[in-house]
Amino acid sequence: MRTATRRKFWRTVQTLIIVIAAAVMIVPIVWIFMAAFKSHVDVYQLKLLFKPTLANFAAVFAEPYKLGDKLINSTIVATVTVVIAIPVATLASYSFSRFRLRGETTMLVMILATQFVPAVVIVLPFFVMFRDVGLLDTRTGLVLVNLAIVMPFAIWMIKGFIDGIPIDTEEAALVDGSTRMQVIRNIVLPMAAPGLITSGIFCFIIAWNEFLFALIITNKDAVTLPIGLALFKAEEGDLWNLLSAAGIIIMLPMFVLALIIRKHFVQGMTMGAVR
Amino acid sequence: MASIRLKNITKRWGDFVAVDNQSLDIEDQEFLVLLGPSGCGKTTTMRMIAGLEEPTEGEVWIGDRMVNDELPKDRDVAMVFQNYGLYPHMSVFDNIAYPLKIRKSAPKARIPELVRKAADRVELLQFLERRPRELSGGQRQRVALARAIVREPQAFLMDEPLSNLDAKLRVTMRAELKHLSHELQITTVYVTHDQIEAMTLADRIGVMNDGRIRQLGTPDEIYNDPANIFVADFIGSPSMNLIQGAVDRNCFVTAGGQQLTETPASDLDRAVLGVRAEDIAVVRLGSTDVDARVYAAENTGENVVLTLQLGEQRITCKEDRYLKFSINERIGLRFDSSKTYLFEPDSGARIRQ
Amino acid sequence: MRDNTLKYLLVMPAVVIVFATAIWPLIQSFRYSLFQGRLTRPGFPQGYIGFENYTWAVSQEPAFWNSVIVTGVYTLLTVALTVLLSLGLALLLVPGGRFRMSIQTILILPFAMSPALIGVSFRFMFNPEFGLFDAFFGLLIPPLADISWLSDPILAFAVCVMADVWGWIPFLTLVLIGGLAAVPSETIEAAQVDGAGGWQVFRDITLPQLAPVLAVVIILKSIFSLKTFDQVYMLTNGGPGTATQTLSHYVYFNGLKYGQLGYAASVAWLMVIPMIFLTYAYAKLVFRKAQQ
Repeated sequence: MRTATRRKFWRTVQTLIIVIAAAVMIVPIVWIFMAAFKSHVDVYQLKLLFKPTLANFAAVFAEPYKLGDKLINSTIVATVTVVIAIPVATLASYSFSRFRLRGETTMLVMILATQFVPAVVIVLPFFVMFRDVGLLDTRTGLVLVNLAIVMPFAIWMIKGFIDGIPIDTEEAALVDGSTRMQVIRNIVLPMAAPGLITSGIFCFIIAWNEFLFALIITNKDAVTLPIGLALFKAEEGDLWNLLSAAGIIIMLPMFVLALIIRKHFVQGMTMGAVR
Repeated sequence: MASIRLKNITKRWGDFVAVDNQSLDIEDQEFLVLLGPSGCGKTTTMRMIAGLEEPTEGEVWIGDRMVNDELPKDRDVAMVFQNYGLYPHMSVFDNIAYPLKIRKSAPKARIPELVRKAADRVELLQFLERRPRELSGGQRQRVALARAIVREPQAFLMDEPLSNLDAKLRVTMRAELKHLSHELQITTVYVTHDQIEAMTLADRIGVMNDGRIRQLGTPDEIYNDPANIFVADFIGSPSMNLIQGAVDRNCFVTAGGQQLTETPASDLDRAVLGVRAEDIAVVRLGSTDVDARVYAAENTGENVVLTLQLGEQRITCKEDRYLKFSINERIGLRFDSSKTYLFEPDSGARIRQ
Repeated sequence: MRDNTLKYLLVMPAVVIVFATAIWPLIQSFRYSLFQGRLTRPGFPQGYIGFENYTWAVSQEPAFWNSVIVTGVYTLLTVALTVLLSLGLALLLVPGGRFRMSIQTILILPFAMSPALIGVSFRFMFNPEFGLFDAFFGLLIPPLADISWLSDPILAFAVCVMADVWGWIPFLTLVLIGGLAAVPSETIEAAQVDGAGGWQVFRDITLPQLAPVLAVVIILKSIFSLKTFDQVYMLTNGGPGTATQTLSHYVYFNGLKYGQLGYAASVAWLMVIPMIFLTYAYAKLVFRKAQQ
C-alpha cells in the first residue's frame, strides 16, 4: 500500500518536472510569437490579453527595414548552397562508403575537422580575398563561405545514410548489367532519397541560420535575415514588436523543416557517432 | 551457356589469403556446389567469377573468354544473393525486367512477355505489381530467382540463396531449385555451408577450407570416399568419429590398447580411424574385443544416438530406436572394416592401401 | 570506366570544395598570423614579424587573457549544465508514451532556432522592465527584481550561459534519449532482479553503457562552446566592458573592427589548438564506432 502511494507521488513529481522543463523551452518562443502580434504599447507590459495586429509584419517589410530583401537573400543563398553541396557530397559519400581509397581515413578526418574549426579563423582570409576580387557583400561570396560549413556536414551525414543501404542490391544491379554510374542513378539515389532530403533540409537550416560570415562579409545588398535583426536596434532602444515579427519570419520556416526531418534530426547532428 | 574455368586464382587482402592458388573446371550445364564453413573462401571464389572481386593472381575464364578485365555487367552471368538484393523501390515486375532493360538485350515490346514467363516459372504471376517489402521471405527469394532466369545468362551464381529462409520453407525451395535447374540446364555455381543442400542439389561438390578446395567430387564420392580428415569431419551429421590410435600388425589399436578393427595398412605409430556413427554396431559385451561404456543415450525419435566412452575418447553411434540403454552400462562394439577410413594424423590425408 | 579510377573522380569535387573553402583559408590564416597585417594599409599582408603576434597576445594583452578566461569558464559552465540537465531530462523522457513523445517533438523546435535569434530572445526575456524571465526571477528572488541584468558583468555572463544552455538542452536531450534507448533492457532487468534499486541501476548499468555517447556529447558541446559567437554578439556584444567577450568575439573585434588582421589571425590560431585535441578525441570515437 505504502509503496503504491510513494510510486504515485514520484510519478506526479516526474510529470511536474517534465511540464516545467517543457514550459521553460517553449514559453520564450510563445512569448515572441505573442509580441509579434502586439502593438508597440502592449509589448512594454507583461500582458497576456491584447488586441492582435498585423501591423508589425507590414512594418518590417516596408521602408526602411525592407525585410523582404533579406528574405530573398537568405532563400537564394541557402538554396544555392544546398543545390551545390548535396550532389557533390553524395558522389563523395558514395565513394567513401563503398570503396577503399588511398588516404581515405585522412580525408575523412580532415573533412570532419574542418567542421570544428572556429569560423573566425577561416573568415579572415575570405574577407581579404573577397575584398580584392569584389565579392564582398554578394550572394555568391556568401554561398562560397556557407559551403565551408555545410560540406563536411553533408558528406558525413550522407555517408551515414549510404552506409545503411545493403550492398547486395548494388551488386545485383552490377551483375544484372549496370555500369557504376547507372547503379548510382537507378539504385543508390532512389534508395538514399529520404536521407538526401534530410541532409538537404539540414544544410538548408544551417545556411539559413548562419550568422558570423554574413555579419562580416555583407553590409547592404546581400544581408541575410539573421543579420537583419540588428536593424531593429534603434537609438531609442530595441523595437521588440518588430524584432519579434522578424524573428518569426526567421524561425517559422525552420520549425516546419525541422519537424519534417524530425526522425533523423539527432542522427544527422552527430554524424553517425551516436546511433 | 558456358563452362567456367579458374586458373590458379588467389585472392589476398593484405596478409589474409582468402583463396589460395585454386584451379577449378566447371563444365557446361553442370551444377557445382562450393561447400565449406564460413570464411573458407567459397563466396570470394564466386564473387571473382561474377567480377565483384578482382583476383590478386590467376585467370577467370567463362566459355572461351578470359574475363579478368571485364566488368560484372559484361560477363553475362546472373547472381542470386543471400539477402536477395532486390530493388526495394521497384515493383516485382520492374525488378525482374531490370536486367532486360539495362542490357537492352530484348526488344522493348517483348519485355512484358519475358517477365511474365519468368514470373510464371517461380509462381509469382499474381504478385507482379507488389513491392518487395510486401512479400514474404520465400516470395522475395523467388523474385531474385526470376530476375536471374529472365534472361539466358552464361551461368547462374547463387550465394547461400536459401539460408535466410526458415527451415520448412528451405526444404520446399530446395526442391523447386532442383526442378528449375533441371529444366533450364544452365551452368550453376552454388555456394552454401549447408551439407544437405550440397548433397541434394549438386552434380559435383567442392568442399572448401582455408581458401582451398579440399575435395572435388560427386556427392556420393564426398560422403563415401572422403579424401582427408577435413572432408570426413565436415560432411555427415553427426560428424564422423575420428579415433586416435596406431596400426599394429594389420589391426587398428586405440591409445588405450583396444583392438577396434582390421585394416590392410602397414604398421603405423600414429593413425586416425574415421567411422560414421551409423556404421558402428552395438553387440553383447565380450563378443568382440571392444568394450565401451554408455556416457549418454539420446532418443531422437528416429533412432537412438549414443555417446560412448571408449578409453580416453568419446564417440557417437546411431542405433535402432527400440533399443534401450542405461547410462554407465558397458557394451561391446563391432566395426565394419569396409566402412572405416584411415587418416594420417598430421597432414589429415587419407591412407589408402 | 573502372571503379579504381571512378572512385577518385567521385570524391574530387567534394575534396576540392573542402580544400578551397576550409583548408586553404586555414593555412592562409596562419600565414597572416606571421605578419603585422594591418587591413587598412595597402599591400596586405605586410610586415613579416614571425611569431611576434603570438608572443604579444600571450605576454602583453590582458584583454586576450580576459577572453581566454571568459571562454574557459563559459565552456565549463555550459558543458556541465547542459549535459547534466539534458541527462536528467532524457532519463525522465525515455520511458516513452504519448505525453513524453509529444514533449520530445517540442524539443526539436528550439534547436532549429538561429543562435543569433536566441541571443535576441534572451535580451528580450531579461529586459528589466517587461522581460518575462526577469519578472519570473524577480518573483522568486526579490532582490533581482528590476535589476538591469545585462549591465552587470556577472549577471550578463549568467544570462549568456543561460541562453546557451537553453539552446542546447533540446538537442543533447534527444541524443541522450537515443543513447538510453540503446541500453538493452535485459541488462537493466537483470540488475533489478539481482536486487539493485533505481539509483544503483543507473550508476552501475545505465551510466557505464551510456559512457561512449556521453563522451561524444561532451566533446561536441565543448567544441561548440569554445567557438561561441552569435548569441553573445546579439545578447551583450561582449559587454558590459569585456565581461562576456569570448575568444571568437575578441578575434572579430580585433580583426574586423580594428583592422589588426595579423594579430587577430594569431589569436584565432591559438583557438585552433584545443580544437585539435577535441577533434582528435572525437574522430577516435567516431571511427571506433564505425569499425564495429
